[in-house]
Amino acid sequence: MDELSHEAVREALADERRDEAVEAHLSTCDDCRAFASVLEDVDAQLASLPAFEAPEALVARTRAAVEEREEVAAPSPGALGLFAAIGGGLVAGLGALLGMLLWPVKAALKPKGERKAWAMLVPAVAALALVVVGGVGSFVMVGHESPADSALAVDEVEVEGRAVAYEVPEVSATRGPPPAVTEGDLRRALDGLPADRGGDPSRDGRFGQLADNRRGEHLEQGVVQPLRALGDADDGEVVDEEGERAGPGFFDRTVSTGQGQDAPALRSPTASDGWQDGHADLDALTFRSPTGYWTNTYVPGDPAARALRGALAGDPVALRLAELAEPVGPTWEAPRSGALSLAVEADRRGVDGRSRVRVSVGLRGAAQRAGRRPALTTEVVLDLRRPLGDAAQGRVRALLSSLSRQHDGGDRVGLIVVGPDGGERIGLGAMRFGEVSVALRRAFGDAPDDATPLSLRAGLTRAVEAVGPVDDDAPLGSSMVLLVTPALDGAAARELSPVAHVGALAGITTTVVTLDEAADPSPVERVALAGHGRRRVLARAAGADDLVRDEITAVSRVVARAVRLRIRLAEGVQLVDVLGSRPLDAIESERVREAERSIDRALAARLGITSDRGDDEDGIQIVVPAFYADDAHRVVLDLVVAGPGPVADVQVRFKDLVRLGNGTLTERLVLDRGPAARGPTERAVMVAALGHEVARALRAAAAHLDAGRADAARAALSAGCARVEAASSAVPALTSEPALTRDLSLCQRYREALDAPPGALASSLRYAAHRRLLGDPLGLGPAP
Amino acid sequence: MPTPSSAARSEERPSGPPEAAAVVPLSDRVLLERHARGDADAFARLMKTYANPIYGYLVRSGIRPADRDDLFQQVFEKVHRASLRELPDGAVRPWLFAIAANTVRDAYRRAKVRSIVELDEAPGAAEPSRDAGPDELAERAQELSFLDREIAKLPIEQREALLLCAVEGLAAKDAAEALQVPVNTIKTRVRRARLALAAAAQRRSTLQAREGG
Repeated sequence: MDELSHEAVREALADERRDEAVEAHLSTCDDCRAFASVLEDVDAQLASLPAFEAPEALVARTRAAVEEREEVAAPSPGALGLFAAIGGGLVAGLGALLGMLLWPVKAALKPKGERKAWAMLVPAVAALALVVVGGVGSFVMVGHESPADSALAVDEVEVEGRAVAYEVPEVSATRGPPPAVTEGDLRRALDGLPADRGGDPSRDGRFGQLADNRRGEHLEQGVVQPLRALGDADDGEVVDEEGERAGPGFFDRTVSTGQGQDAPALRSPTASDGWQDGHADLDALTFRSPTGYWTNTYVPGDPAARALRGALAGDPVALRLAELAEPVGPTWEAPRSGALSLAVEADRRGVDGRSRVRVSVGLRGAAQRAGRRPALTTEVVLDLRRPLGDAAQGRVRALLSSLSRQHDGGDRVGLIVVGPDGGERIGLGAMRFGEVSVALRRAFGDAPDDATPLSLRAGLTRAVEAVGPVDDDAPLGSSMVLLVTPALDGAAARELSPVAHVGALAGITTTVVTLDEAADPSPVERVALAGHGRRRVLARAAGADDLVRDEITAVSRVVARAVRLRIRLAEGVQLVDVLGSRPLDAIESERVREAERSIDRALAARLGITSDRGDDEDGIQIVVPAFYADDAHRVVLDLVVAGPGPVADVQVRFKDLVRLGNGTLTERLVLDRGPAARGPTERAVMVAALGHEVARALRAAAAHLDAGRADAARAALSAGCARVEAASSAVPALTSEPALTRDLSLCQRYREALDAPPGALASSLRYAAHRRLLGDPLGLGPAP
Repeated sequence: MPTPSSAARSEERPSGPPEAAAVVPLSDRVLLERHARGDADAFARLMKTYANPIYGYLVRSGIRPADRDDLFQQVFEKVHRASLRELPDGAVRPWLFAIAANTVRDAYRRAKVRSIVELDEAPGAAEPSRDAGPDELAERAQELSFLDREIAKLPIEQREALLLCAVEGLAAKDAAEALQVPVNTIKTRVRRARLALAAAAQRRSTLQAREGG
């Protein structure tokens, strides 16, 4: 080997790139092998360099020096006001003096007849005005903070021993001083998880993200206690329970079937609602108030949907069937800058008179990721119940090195080893350069003295507990457990799934990385699904970087938070419905407000985005907790318009995580006078509205199937098909819409499946309904 | 593409003051803001967090004890003045270390040297592992002293990068921000520094082996 090769190898060692070529060189080169060992030693020493302690006297002296400087620093606003008052007075006095001196001269130059007596008052009035202006100016400066000052104001209270900082709202001239933020407010903001219904918010899909964001004290109740209480609970029960609740989570209006079982209401395909001609039966409609808070329909990552998919893991046929369902794509552009774009579209371009119109309010997330991703908290659980081979050790080393390299400011990474010599090897947030080498040496080499036997379940529990309390308001997916294991068997999966599930309900995802390509995917998939995470295989050390990048990317996908949608209908426009949504009652509305304020304050404190929430607005208000990159969503309104003209003004306010500021989008929808004239945009709105009908048919079929009424389920699906076909016959261009073709095919295949229904068909129907409206924005991926 | 039926007036207008702030640890940011508003206690709390890391940075940068106290004071006075002028755009920790790094560079520039190796101080808060025996402790202290000395001998650019990344635990991105260089440059400097330290350690062990032999 020449010198250059030695250098190249050493560079590779320093980069922690121990690929095959490097290993081959090391196996033959004593010198480089010795160097590798020394480099590891150096890294280990660097990782454990002790801290120096600043002498107390020096710290005290420095503080005193700074305080001394502080006293002679910039004058206070009061002092500035005083200077202004003095300055104003001086200017006023000089002005008055000058006026009095010049006036006689000026007056004397004029002819006698033009000398006006009132003119003598001019200098005096000017002087008086100057005095008044100066005085008012100084009063303002002395007595009031500038808005900029108040916008910066940050205060802090203590909630149960925890210091909670929040930004004080700006002082408003019209609203007066902001209300005092009480401990109770903050506790509610931290703990009171918003839900759009009265039940347990963590079990509600629409605010799943907010529920998942719950941290701190609640976590003790929400995660730690359930973890401790987990006895012999079987994860199958948990998943089933989730599957059960998924139906009503999306399906609000029910009618009694008279058979003791509520089934979703499905409009008769023959009943004309003016879909085709826009005029029929308008008088038979009932209208809703276009005001107040409504439920959010954008629920990607909904735990219920994930649980449904989990329930389908054992039935690939039912899962593939559900994955045929897809939402209609956006017809509007992604934002050129900022996090979101807004489009308000109707299902027709023109109307002649009073007509029924479907309107889509579309949001689309930026294709790019947010400039700053949220801080990531990752606890790696390394399964060393059995010793790993050299190759597997190399992969683990590569994975941890990659985590170490790619972690960002504020990220916390920790390592827990499971097995006979188990225990925490790297504390959360303690990872420094070289610590990975140290930790792995202790993991793979001689057992450290503090090692104790740790079971896989205990290790995962410890990881979830450790990750949970770290962050008060972390977005969905920013806290995760990475379980690294050669393979899992069914028993391990049964043991781990409930723990992963409890963590998932609190927003801590569990991703399982297997080191063996031939490992049975089913148990791994089961744990990953219960933990709302992903299943990964790390077959080569070179794949570690991609794996870590993918995980981080998933976390970085939130581009906007606290998205507040306000829809104001124009005069004469009546609201039939907001499809898939419903008005919230007073308690639910308060929860939404609290959730919004909580995000608002948290982002003000963490990202410096000015706090601007807290007031109700007129019109329909929908609050979306988080919006993901490269995703699109439509809120579809069913309206009756009096005629051509303005239909709605829409405003979206959001916390823009791309530009790190408050963003506002506005758009107005106006209908022309004339025929419906449906182009691609208008047809997309129709398809989106029909999507709700199809989803409703799928849920109805699921409910019937659960009740053992296969015929009724078949009828519900037929009704869904008929609905699509009726629309297609009324608007022939719809026949070329791929989404509707898929809908027809989907309903048909489900009808066929009902002849010999697989066990998970009801879950499949519900999951299909979810996908029809929301797709798969979080990348749950195709069926394994 | 606006449709004929919609008078598309989509308009994005970020409201509020210019918002360049990024993710920052809450407490540091809040403390700086409070300090800027005249809260004397806030600065004391900030110092409590950063006094030891900054002091350690000065020690490991090879600043002489005679100059160290002055530089320590200078760093915090600069932090005080800078926070009154403008709060940092990004995280507080890199910002603070940027001030420390600049202060050290200025000191070297004034002294017209590239490194001043003087490490006479044992780490004050060194906490040896519970299981270490006296021999191991002595050996470790010797090793650390050797390592600290070798760090102080590194070229200033490598030393800055190594101290920020390897000792203070800053991410490469934050260290790059603090030192105003690209991230890859930071990575290269840290790699070279580690290689240099490893080479020094290898030379030393070879020498010891010869002497022992």
